[in-house]
Amino acid sequence: MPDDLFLERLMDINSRYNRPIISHFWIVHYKDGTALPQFDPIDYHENEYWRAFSDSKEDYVAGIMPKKKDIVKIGWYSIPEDAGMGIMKECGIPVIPLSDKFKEVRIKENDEPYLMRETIFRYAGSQPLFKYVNKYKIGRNIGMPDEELYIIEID
Amino acid sequence: MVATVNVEVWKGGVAGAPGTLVNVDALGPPNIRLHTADTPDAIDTTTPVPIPTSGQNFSYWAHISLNFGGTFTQISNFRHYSDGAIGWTFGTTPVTPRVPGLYRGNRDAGDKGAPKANYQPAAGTSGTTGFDLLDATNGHPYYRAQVTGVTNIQSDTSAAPATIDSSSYTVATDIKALVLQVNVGTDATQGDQGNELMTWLYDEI
Repeated sequence: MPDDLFLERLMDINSRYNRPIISHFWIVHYKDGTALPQFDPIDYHENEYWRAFSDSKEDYVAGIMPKKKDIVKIGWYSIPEDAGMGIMKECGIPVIPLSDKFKEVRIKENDEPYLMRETIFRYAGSQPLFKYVNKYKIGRNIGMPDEELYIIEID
Repeated sequence: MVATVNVEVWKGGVAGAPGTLVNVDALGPPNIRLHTADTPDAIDTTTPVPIPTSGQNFSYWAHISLNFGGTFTQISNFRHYSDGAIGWTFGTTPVTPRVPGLYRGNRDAGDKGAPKANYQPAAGTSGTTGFDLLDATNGHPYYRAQVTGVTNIQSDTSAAPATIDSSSYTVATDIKALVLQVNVGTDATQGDQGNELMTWLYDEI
């Protein structure tokens, strides 16, 4: 369970942002050696996830994903503290670097790479509401049951 | 981007079209209160649910949703649960139409949440009682004809959350609404009840 100091930091940060607190970011790696990170390492702007697969969000939603065949690895990685400050400033996304846990998965031909974060959003209690990402899920294929996914749990 | 999210209540308006969507994040704590009036965003002691001298009294039901904004790729898998032990003094009798408690509108199959198109304004006798969610005439049309039209919210726990909305969304939206109502018996204990923690879960990428 989160300790009191962690909860205090969560609530303080939540009071200033309307997005959940994150601790990890994704990177999608391609067979030509390039990679797309969720956050640009130079200016910290955020890349939407569909960009890892498609040329437009409309294509992604329609299932048109020409880049998918070139993906060789996906991963969730802990956000370094200095990058966290940059992300909060650039994107308005609250960050708490929580742990050094990370997970990578090798992708094979015909896989449907799966990355997802689960947010927990508590409200109506005796303390101010707070929301943070408590699970980072990753797997070779969409639709795998949870027990077959790798999950980084934040608690 | 990581989506923005807030809890909102729907109130007023007409069937299928709530009149007001209120962001309750900045209220309280708590963020929501159940009254005998259509005012779930009023964090005060006006229009409480009085203890009945016979039968049961109901709060006006409350529609509680999540509002998502900003730009994001996909959000999905919206679930909700309580801490499994609502500590309010509802009383225990009578047990008809059901044991006093805090209940969630329930569907026999599929998502438990009410789509906006199935919204029904809360009503009743202000200051005395709301209509029972399952009242054959004045109940909530989305739930009253179900075999099990309500479920005690204590049954929704972190180990077994209720699926409020199983849809996937790729643009800003309000999700289906959780519908809550409290009923109290003749042996309930008067007083301002303690705050109860509720939790939403959702997936995003």
